[in-house]
Amino acid sequence: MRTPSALFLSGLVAAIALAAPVPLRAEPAVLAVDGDDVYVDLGSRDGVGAGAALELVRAVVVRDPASGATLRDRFALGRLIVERAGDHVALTHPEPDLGQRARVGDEVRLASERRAFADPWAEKIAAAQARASEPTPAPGVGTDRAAAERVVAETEAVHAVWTRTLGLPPADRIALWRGYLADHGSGRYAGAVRQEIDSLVAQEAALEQATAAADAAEPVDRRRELSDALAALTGAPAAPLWVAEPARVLPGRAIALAFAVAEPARTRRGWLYARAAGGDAFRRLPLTSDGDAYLRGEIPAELVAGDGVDWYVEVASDDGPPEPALGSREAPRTIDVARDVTEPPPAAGRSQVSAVVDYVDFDGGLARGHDQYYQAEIDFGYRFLQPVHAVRLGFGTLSGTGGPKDVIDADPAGQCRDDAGAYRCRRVDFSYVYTEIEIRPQRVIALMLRPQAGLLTTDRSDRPAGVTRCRSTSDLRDCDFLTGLGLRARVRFGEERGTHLVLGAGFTQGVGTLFEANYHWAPQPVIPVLLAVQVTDQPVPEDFGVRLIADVGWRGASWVYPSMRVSYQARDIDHAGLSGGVGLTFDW
Amino acid sequence: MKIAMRAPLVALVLAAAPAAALAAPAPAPPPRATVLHVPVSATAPHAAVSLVAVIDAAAAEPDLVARFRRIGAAAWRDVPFERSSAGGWYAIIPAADVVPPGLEYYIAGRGGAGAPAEALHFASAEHPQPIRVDPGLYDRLEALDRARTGGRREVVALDVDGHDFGNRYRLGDRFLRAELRWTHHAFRQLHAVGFGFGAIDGETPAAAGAEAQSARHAARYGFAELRVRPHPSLFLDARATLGVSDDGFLRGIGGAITFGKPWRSNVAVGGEMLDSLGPTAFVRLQWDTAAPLLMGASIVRTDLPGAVIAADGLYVRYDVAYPVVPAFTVRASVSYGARDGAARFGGGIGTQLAF
Repeated sequence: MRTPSALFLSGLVAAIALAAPVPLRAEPAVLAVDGDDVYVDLGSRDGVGAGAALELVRAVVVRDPASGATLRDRFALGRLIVERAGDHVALTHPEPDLGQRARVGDEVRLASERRAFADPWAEKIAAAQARASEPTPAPGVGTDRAAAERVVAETEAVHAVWTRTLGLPPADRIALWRGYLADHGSGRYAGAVRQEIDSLVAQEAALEQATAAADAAEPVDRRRELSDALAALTGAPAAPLWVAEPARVLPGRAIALAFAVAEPARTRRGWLYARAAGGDAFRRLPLTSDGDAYLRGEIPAELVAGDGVDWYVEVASDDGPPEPALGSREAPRTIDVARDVTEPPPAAGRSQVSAVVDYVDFDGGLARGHDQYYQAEIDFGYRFLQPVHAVRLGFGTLSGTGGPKDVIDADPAGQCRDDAGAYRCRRVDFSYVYTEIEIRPQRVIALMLRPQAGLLTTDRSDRPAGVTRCRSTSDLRDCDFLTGLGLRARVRFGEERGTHLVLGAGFTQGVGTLFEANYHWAPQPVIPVLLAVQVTDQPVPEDFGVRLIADVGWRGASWVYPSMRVSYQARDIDHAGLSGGVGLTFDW
Repeated sequence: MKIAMRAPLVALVLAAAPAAALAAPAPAPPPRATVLHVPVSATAPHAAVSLVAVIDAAAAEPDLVARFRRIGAAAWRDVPFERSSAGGWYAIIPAADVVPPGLEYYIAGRGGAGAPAEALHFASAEHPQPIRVDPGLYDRLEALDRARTGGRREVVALDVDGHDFGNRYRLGDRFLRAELRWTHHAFRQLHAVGFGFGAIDGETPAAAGAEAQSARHAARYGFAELRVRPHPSLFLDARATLGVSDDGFLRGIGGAITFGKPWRSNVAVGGEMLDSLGPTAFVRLQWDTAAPLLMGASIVRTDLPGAVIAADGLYVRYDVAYPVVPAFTVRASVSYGARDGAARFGGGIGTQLAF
């Protein structure tokens, strides 16, 4: 016999148990899973909008051993963030792991601020309380108080265990129920509990199978999907890293590089290698992880020089070897370094002004001879170094008398007349200007090219009016005028400011040809010396002769030095003379 | 009575159980967005910077912004990421803020009401990402020119030059040329423009020979000049002249190319053609190694002032300029050369005021 109280309790539990199971669609649930889109039946009319957080809940079917009623319990799987919401449906993008486990029918619950949402559980509690307050059915289980108390005690025990199982995974529930059976194996609810255990075992197996299937499935790399989306958006090429490096930078300023990680699994670690463009060794610089998906590093300012910076990046997985990600040691990427346009202060040792006067006497007659000339030049030079090493401008004059040496030497009167009595010598006056460009393809080799032009005046008379008659007076008889063009080319071997050898050749229309070999050295720092050999037919194109020249300077000050020269020249052993010259050079 | 009181308790427990089950798991971390973009490290001056991103779970952080400031500035400013109909999210840093030496930025977001502290998605206020804004070549050159000139863009110059060629027949062959010039410097590719007035007076033999007479030649003219800088070390000058001469209407053109900077060591080659007054060509080497003096040596071949007896007028000129003060410079030159006869001297003086 059941006591009225027991009957009351049994009826109450049964009523509550019948009310407690939640119908499949009584709670918001997952409506569909489409790739990484998960749709739930909550919408704006439920107070759910973008940004709302939802709890994804896995329902577990449980049976109340006391009443035999089937209930649904839940345990949380993870959190969803609503991206968009309609009136009744919301769209979420769960994390890849969670998305793999979400299934249609899984329940969702608003986890963020409730705001205006209705609380279904509160409604259920209210409904339960309302039912509890309804009139209790008449007791029908007898009036044996002791039996009723045993029933109540056993019922309370089974309900205590059942309550503890709520919210737990099936395995834990099974363990609790088996513990209950150990103490109440012959109780009135033992059969129902065993059925519940069987149900839970089946559910656990199904759950494990689903989980295993999900784990076995190709994992969805959400970050990779993001990367693909960014690639589609920006047109970035496929690569483990993306970077928008500058194409050209100013020198002397560090370059901060940040890389977006497109393939996280391959990019757990990273290193940036950099060197000045064309240099030998790369410097290894660590990349540090930053933010959601980035690596950052910096090329030091001292490497940002010259024409550019070579760089590349290597990355590695957690346990893999480094592998090139952007560029490589063999084919690095390059950031151009803009030319520094800052103007340096005026450089020392670039300018030179020199003046030289040289008297050349080939027949030893000095002023009474017929094979002498003087040459004076003033030369302005500047060493640009790049792109041409130096440029020189100059002005010169060459004036003198010359003629066939046989005639000069054979005339016993020394009047340069041949056997027929004809005057054979000529007086020339050549005033010229020139521009010389010096190119230095190597540090110890320089090429110098000097075009020149001038006015050549030739006096064919034997009037003793001096060499400038045709140039300076109105007496133009026997005078010829010609615009003389010429060219002089030289090659220098050795340092310009040290010991060096210059070989050259020159030709001037109407004046003659000159071959030269000049050897410069300084036996003492203050004593620059020039030794030269020249072969020339100047001042008139007749017979070639040789000049041997020794020029010694005195560099008492760093910026100026005078020099003197003596020379011996001859067209043959009997047609020779000594002469000399002076020079003054400003060099600063 | 005791049992009667337990019944509603059990009922409450059963009814509340699902809710308790939901509350049981450990608190999940707050939802956050994931921002993936290609970081910007450099841009051109005065060009808006567009940060293009894809964002996952953007709704978790409604206030997702790129926070930027000019390098050297203290305050950060926000530009929000906004979704484009074309896909992706964009945050635009205004062009007005994109000035040398650059910007720095980071990306941060904050969730809705009640969200915890701001989430950093890329870089941070303490370690922001710099965006280099390197000035362009001509911006840098202009800055250097402005520093060199002290910001003085206007120059007024007065120059007087002449040469006496002499003549073997003792006929007059000389000229004197004076020019007053105003030049405005832009210091860009178009480096300068100028305008001025000039006068030439001189005489030259009307024919060769002792019986000839020298004739006066003169011109009054105005001219316009411009100087362009196609390369940091290359300058091109062009000049157009209009005026009158003893022969009537006078037209002229001129030009020069300067290898190097006109205020530093350089080589210049140029020429001018003035209708009846004839052509002039020169090559000039200038050096700056005797600071503050600026010296030059030139070779000048000219028919001024309209020579007809020979095309051989040639002289060498040496000139030196001295800045008395940065804004005021004086110049002097001496020349030596001839046309028909022995060489003679010439020279010139000049001054210029910059402001």
